[in-house]
Amino acid sequence: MNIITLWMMVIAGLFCVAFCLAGADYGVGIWSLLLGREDVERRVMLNVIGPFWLGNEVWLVLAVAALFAAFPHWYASIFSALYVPLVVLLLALILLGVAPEFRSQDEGRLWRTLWDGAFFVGGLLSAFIWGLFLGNLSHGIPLGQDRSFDGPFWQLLHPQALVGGLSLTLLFAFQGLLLLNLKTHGPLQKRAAGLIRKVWWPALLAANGFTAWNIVDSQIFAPITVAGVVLALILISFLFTLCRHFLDQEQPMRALVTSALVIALTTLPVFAILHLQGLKSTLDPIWTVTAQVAASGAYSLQVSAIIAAIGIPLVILYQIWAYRILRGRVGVQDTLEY
Amino acid sequence: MDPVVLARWQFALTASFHFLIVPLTIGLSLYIAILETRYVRTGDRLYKRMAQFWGRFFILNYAVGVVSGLVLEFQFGMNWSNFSRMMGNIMGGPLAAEALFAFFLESTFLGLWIFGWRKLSPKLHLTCIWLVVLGALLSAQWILAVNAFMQKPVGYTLEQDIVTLVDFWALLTNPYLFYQLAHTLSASITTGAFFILGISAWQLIRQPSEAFRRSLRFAAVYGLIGALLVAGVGHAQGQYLERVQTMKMAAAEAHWQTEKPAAFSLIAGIDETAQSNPWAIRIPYLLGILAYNNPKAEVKGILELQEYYVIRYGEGNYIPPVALIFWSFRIMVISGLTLIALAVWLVFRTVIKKRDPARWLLRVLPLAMILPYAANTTGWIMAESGRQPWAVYGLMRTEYAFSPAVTAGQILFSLISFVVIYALLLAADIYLMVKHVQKQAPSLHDSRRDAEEA
Repeated sequence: MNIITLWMMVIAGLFCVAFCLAGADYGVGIWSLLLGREDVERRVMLNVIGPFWLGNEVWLVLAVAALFAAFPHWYASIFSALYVPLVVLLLALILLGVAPEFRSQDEGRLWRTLWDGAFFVGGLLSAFIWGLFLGNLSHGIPLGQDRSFDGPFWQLLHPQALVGGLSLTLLFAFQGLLLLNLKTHGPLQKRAAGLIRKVWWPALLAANGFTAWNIVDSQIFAPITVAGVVLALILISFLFTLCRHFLDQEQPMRALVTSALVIALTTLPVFAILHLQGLKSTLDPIWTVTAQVAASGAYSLQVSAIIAAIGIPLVILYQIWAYRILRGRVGVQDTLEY
Repeated sequence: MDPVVLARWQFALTASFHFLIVPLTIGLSLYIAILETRYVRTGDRLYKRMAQFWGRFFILNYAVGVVSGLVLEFQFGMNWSNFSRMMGNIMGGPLAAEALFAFFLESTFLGLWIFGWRKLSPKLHLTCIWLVVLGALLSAQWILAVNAFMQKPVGYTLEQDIVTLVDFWALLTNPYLFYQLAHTLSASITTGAFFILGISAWQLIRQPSEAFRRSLRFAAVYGLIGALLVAGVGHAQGQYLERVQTMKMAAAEAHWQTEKPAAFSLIAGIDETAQSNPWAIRIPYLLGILAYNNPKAEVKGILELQEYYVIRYGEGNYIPPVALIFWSFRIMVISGLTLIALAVWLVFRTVIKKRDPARWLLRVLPLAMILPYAANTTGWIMAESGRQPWAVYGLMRTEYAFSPAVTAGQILFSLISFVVIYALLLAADIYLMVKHVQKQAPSLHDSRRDAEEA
């Protein structure tokens, strides 16, 4: 295996981890208005993600930085092409990021309502735009001669990208509910558990739909497209069924992990496509940016690989420790920091 | 409108906003860690309450720092895609390392610190805040390694317009990084110290208490060390720049003509079109002393350097915005000197004479909180504008670093969006900090009594 393939796997893995962790935070944001009926319940929801949401956001920062380090031409082409959606994403991440810190520091009704709104909008838009991002990566971008976007901005909003946005929104919303189901108790947890069963079908359909579309749209599995689609759909549907089984068995942790696997399984094909066919130019194939072209020099890739090999296991170890320290459910009687 | 100009404005504003927050969080984290260390050593609960009190400022600002940092990370690719294509190979590694070794450490252990007061043993809890400090220091080191490369490229080869990293170790041992890191970290200590001084002084006027006396005494010493270090390192850095970025220093002094011996312009009127100073208050020999410790030294002027650059890099204008850099430099230095004077006076009065500071000084300190911010911002304006027309010194000009795909309209959209949201964030942040002081400061005082009675 060459180092470019290795880096592709690392980056795909980082985006998967980031989406599983940060996605749950966005999901909590998406449900914050509907599920949190009283002020204290909304605070509980913020405190569920409280100790970890910054660290989860750092997984995304790392994923983007790794893309920059290993494939600067992809990073440059994608980020300058998706300019307008990414501005909206940044605004959403800003709102989502400060809302937990700011919201409960003042008792004013208007103040809290505004930050509740910011938390909801931030979560919803972040989830949708990351889906849009994946949809564009998989489908390709109108890249011109200088490997840069060449076209009006609405060309980024093609059906595949919109389905991507919808799918990640539903999957993250589902993941958020599973997290609330694991980390809260009382009426809040009951409401979350009830909603999980309603979101289960739409989430299942969206994950299957987006994945099937990605596989069919790309030509990389051309001779075995049908087999690929069938296999992916069986796997995703199986995981959803397993998730439901764990919920019925009252094993919320396992349900959460299973749903995380679904998110990973929906994300991975996009990066496989990116790796095998490159960042496709929808204008002319000769302007497609392949992995070889996009990658950094061999020496840079090696240095970054050493950095990653030291850093990533270390981070995983102390984050697991942190999760263990702060395990347990959060309730309305607890001291709420946020 | 020229999209490159808009993109530069956006970068300047978003980076400056980010750097309002960063030095404060770095400076505060160290103070909080020291307070908690004293708590664990002495068992004095007032130190714990003080750590929590100052910790709230850290938490509020840390969140703002994280989200404004995200904007910078995305912005390289969004607005400066050609820069990213060239530099990914060089700076991608340090950026990833910053996330891996610094951001994770900071964010994970800050989460544990906030939520772990009852779940961790005092010593383990103390370790968390020290790891946050370590994360903050490491993040400065990694990101400044990137900036140092942009200022003084090292450890690369250039073949057919492609820059390739060949020596990672050289990136980390770039002498430019050494000066910049020392200057930035001591500036952060100063910023944190004067933030603590300002709030403590305000509280000592309202309701004198032991907690704020302690904070004031400590921060006076902390601030004096910081401010003296900033000035000392800054001077050494200036002499270093004189050798590696002569043009930047010449612009900072509005020094158009080569002189031997060279006079220093204290203040000057600057005419950038005529490329001369219509008037100036000049001190003979001083520029030679400042630049080379030698009153008789020759100091190259902007116009001669421009001719030299044309020979070396081809036709073009290599003169940065002189008036901007000249005045930024002066605001930075005057702010720094004022801070040293204040800190010296405070240390003399509170530590050596062991008396409360005079009331006028307590009234001045809250106003002086603005000075470190003025110095930090103008310092970066000097560093970054002084590098122009280069994005990467000698390798890539700013106009070529831009994203060809992005239109002026799009940048106007993002620029306005960021300005509006940052203004709101700043307003909310300041509002919450003021509210926190008003609400929590009196209870610090009460708890002292409670602890003594118990």
